[in-house]
Amino acid sequence: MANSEVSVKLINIEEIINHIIERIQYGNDNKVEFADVIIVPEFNDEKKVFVFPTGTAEIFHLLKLSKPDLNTIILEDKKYIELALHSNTFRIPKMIVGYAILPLIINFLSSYIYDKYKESSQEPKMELNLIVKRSDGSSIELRYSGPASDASKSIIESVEKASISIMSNGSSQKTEKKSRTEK
Amino acid sequence: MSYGKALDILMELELNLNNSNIEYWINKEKMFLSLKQEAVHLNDEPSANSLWFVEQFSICKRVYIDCIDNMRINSFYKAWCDFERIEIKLRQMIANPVFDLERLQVGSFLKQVEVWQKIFPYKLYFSPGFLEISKHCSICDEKISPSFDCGHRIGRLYMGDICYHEVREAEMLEVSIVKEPVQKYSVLFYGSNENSQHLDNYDYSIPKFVTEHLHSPFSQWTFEWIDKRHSIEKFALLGYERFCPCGSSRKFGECCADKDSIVIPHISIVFAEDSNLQEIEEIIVLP
Repeated sequence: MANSEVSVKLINIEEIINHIIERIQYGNDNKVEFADVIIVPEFNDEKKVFVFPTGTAEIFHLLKLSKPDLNTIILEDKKYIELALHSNTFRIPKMIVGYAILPLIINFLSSYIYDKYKESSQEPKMELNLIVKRSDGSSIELRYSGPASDASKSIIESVEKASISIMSNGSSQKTEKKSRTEK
Repeated sequence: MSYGKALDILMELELNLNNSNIEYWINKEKMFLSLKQEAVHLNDEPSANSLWFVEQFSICKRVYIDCIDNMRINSFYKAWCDFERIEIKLRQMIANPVFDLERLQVGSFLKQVEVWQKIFPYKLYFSPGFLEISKHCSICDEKISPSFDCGHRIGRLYMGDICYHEVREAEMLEVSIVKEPVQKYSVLFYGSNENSQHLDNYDYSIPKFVTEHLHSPFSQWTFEWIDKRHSIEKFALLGYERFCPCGSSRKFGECCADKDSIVIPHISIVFAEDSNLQEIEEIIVLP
């Protein structure tokens, strides 16, 4: 059985962006306002540097090439550093995207990973951390871990469910575990 | 390289798919490398790429024969590392199909390599975590960064060479133990002896059995795991303190020792063509 896990929670997006921009000090704040997709680094506590998962530069270039209508930016530090972690899991860089383009981004990432692993005997695993900006100004953070082929459906379903829950309760923090029979 | 020449190469390789003479593949490898270098010199990218493909194919065939030879002399870990080398090369060829993959049976060659990998006893691997501070494109030497796209993509073929990213500055963060590694060669061993050789306590009975019964290196074979019931008499000599053969991770004396029979994993190996297998033996895998 292969498992997938999706967690969704309400977050304050401005706090996150400001926190990163303050520390990067690279003049990124001007670009952020008009961006459709923002790729953001994670802070590595041990080395005290901002890092991106391996392959982020390639994803950024391919996204700009394949979706030229989207204004895609990356919050770079002075030094661009990638983090190469163990195990055969493809880690997608953290992205901030609008709700309207979420399916577009998920499909792009799924097909990117499928293309990378299309001749592999094992189905690729994917770890994803997306911040989705909703039309009412609120944002939700979404984490997915599981088979790449399940990502698209699982994530969009979870965001829709979370949005309904947020509208009725005002807050949400939810984790769904799914399992399925391997193909 | 002319279309006619390419067709001649393809036809010759097609006729020699099961050629187990290692000298043949060594000579092909050298010849294709030399022709590729000429094509690169002439800036002839289609020819350089085609010759890269057949050069890699010849390397895979040569290394595969080496793998079988190594397993025959019980160098199983060496064979394991070489199977990974072949796997990586075949995947690169599949991602860059300059020649007809079907005619050279590249897909079934890869499947056979994967079948070998599945019967090795390795389950856990070391895997390092790094901060990659400076990486460069192997094709154009440009530094990898979001601010500049050199246009070369990892794993793609350019003028007879595969693009990869060369890490020139890195900091090691950790070493983890994983089940699905990026690199399969980083197998866990118990340590090393005075001569820096692995202390290898793995049970290689299954790959050893297959190797001994192969008719020739490129003979095809496959396997399946099934549960099979065995009479308790077969385990009369098994100590009660040992792990139970049923795979429960409990002690034999506390698990199946009092039963009439035990259901345990059994591997059934099927050779696709004539082999020197006179009688199919049962392989019982004890945990």
